[in-house]
Amino acid sequence: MMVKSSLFSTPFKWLWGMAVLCAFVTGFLQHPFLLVRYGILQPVNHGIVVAHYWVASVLLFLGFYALVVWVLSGRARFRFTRIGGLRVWMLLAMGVSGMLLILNDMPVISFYGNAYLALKIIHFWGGVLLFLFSIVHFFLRIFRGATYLVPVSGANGKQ
Amino acid sequence: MPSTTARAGEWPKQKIAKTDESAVATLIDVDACTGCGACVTACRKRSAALVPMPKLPIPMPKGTRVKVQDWSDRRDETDCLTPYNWLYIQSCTLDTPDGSRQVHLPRRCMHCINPPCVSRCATGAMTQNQRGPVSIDHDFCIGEADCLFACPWMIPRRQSGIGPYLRFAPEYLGNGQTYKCDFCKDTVDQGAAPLCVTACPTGAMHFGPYAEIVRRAAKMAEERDGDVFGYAENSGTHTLYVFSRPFRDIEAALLKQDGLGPGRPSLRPAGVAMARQNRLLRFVLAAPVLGAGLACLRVLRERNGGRR
Repeated sequence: MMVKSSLFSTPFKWLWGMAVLCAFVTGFLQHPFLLVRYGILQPVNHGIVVAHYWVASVLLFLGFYALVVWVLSGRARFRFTRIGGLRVWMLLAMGVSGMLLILNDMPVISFYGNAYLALKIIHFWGGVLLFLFSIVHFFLRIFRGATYLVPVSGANGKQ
Repeated sequence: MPSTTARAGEWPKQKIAKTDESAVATLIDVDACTGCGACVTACRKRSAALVPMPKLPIPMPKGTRVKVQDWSDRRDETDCLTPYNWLYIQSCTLDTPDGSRQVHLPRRCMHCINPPCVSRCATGAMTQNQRGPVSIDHDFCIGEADCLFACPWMIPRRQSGIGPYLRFAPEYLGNGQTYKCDFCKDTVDQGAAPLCVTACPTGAMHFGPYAEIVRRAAKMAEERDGDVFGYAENSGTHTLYVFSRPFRDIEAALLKQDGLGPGRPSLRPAGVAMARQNRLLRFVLAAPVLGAGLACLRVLRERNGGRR
């Protein structure tokens, strides 16, 4: 049987790409030292935070979907390239720190002092690194054909 | 808007955020406060050493309407909250059935149980200690003042020309640092009361474990048929005020007597500052479960299809 050469469909990839882009935009728009200063954002309006939460829910939905599909069926047919593995670790750090920050926002759970600061730093700098990483990967993909996943040698999906 | 202040015997039903077992709180008895200012003096002695003088001339922000905020030439000002004055006495004349009376409230950061300033601080400079104090780490604060706009009472105050932003692009980034009461966190961590409480000569300020302070506030309010402010505001704070009359009367008097404005926080009933976001949080946390569930269905379908 010929197995699909890609683990996820094109609509999934587009949706993921758009959601990541929206997460970057709404995430970085929350840094008003630039945006309030130049009148792009009104500081009293928390609409950007709400938008970031909506995008975060889409990303968590797609991310966990991808994770479970990978664990249950993808592992046997595909393996991560180095750049793909690095991306997964970065996404995990962003996802886990983001979810813990959400938990902290809820009235029942709190992280205090340096633990909270660490979460904020990981989430913010993880976002910055992921953004730079995406640019580097974009060029690697164009010039060297770099991908995140490659079919496992000898598996049905080998091309 | 319905009042969230707690009249005796009618404690609000809205959910109060969960505190740590080690959490502490202060209770301010407005009936007992004479407005002597001993708390302000004690607070200023400590804060004076913590707020540096700005680098002069302060860099002017370019390409924006953002203004420099400089309090360094008004360091002695004590009639409002400033970067150099973290506690002030808010006073007004209140008309009561027994005639008019002077009312004094020592005002400073309320130290919310679930502080929106901590959630909204983009650099992570604002943090909360598990005992309750909400404080600013000035190694990280660049004065974007998001905490100021997130705070239901707009307590933090900004001083331009101070802080790490000066090392980057001072004319295009940041605008100083924000300052506010830190609940004397080092003193509180050692188990002692904040300096304003120990300095109070009339015993108007009380300090203790959060649960005990809440019980005490409820008892005092009940005895006086009075009102508590700070118990339910913004889903709970570590600073409670008790008074023999409704706090909305003080708020009305302050409004009439021009006692509210920048650095002079209101006593209006504050709901949950981030209620809109909080309503979404459960949905965001449910999303990964839904995603994982859908993935399981896909894999099961693929396996069943393979067997056929």
